Amino acid sequence: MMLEGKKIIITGGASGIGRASAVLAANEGADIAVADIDRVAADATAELVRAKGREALVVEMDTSKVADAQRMADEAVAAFGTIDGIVCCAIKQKPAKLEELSEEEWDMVIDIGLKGYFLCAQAAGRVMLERGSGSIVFVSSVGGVQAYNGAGAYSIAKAGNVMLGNLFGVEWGGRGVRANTVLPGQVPTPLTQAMFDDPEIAAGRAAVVPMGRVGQPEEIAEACVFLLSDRASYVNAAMLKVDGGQAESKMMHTPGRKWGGKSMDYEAS
Amino acid sequence: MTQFENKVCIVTGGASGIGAKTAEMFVQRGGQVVIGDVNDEAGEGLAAAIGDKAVFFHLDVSDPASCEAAVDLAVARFGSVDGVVNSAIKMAPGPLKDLAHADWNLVLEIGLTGSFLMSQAAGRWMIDNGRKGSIVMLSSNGGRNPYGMSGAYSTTKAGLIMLAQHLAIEWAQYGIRANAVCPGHTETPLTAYLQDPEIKQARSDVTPLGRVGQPEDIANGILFLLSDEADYVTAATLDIDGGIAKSVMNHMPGRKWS
Repeated sequence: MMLEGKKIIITGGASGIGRASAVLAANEGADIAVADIDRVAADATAELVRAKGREALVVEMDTSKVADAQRMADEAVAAFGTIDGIVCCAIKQKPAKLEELSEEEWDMVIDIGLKGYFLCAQAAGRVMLERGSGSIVFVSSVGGVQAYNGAGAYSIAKAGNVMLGNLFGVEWGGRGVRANTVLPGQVPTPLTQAMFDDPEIAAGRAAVVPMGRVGQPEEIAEACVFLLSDRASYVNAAMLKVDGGQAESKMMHTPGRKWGGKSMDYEAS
Repeated sequence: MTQFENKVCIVTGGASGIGAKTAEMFVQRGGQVVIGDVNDEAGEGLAAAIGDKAVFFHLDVSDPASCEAAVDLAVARFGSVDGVVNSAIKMAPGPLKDLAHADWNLVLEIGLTGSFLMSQAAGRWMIDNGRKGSIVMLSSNGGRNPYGMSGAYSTTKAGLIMLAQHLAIEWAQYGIRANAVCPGHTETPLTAYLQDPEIKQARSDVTPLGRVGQPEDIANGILFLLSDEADYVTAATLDIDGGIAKSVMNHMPGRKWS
């Protein structure tokens, strides 16, 4: 098992990619602290972890609050004795056009989606630094490397995740704590479900991904578990896209391919 | 004093498109230019139109001797070589599954090896003669995002970004700068498909600024990098693309969050 006996915190662990990561990490032998603002859903994730035969702890918290982040680390240490890794994926969406985006909306997304990553990684990381080993995984997005129009502060927060992961990796790598970032592409989760419920959108989004389909939370969780594990022992300050090739697909959306008189058609390749 | 007074630039692929516009504007701003190309008719015509500050040279960038001869001509005619613009390229599009070895080699040889050979020939002269200089690589959006069905084009263009950076770090000690520009969809003879109004409109629509680029858009960036205004710019990559390189998410259908 890849995470045998490891103690892992997952923020935003109540649903979506966070829950999938919790379940997969448990399947690989980890005990899981599910940190989330949604107690009921977090409890359900905890039950899924226990069903794998592992211990689960629920920390009901607001990741944007430093006291909550500290309590998260304290409760994890109290329950499990230590912390070996943390996956940060708590986020809230507040899509809006930039000309209409309010200060409160901006602050909310940045507070949870960027500052919250810092606070939680810092609190858990201090425990890992003391032991001289650990792994931090930030769930960013392809929206962190490609501007996601209409998404308000989302792309900015996600770009910040990448740099924050790099920064932790650079500052702490020499002390045994690695930090990396995962960038999912189109993934149906509770956060995006309303969108994917529309069959036209679901089909359209699948079509614009080179692999021809959207991703599943479990596929993102695989990347998180790899980065948490000792198999990634030399992977630090890295960013791993798990997006079916979408982030690099810009030229695929260029209409007209008549170079040299040849009609260029992706379906023909 | 004009921007390029007493400055001499070699422009490969200078007979048409972005190269031709760059050559023309370089002279307009006070410089002298060697137009290097394999297309003699277009090159000679352009040089004649520009006047005595321009000279055409039949340049095969894949031949080191030809590149050296271009440098010799620049020095003999105008007294020095201060800049190089590497825009020569050939297209051999095709799906990778079917791409012929010869097509792959052709694009890499002209686009990448040719840019190296021309830069090396000019750089040796600059270094040996204690002259500062500026080298510009014509990369492309396709050098950062794979351009499906373009054969070796994207790989060549990606290589040009690294070649500029590599030259920049090796030759910074000599005062020679090297940078890359990445045009987006630009209307040139190479992109004749943009003459199709449907394609032009569609490509304009997918560009955040709402239009395709013109050669002078790109030449303006190249001339900046050639000029002393860019005296502290080296190993850099400049997108000149109306924002399209960062627009992948524009192509995601459906926005029904919340």
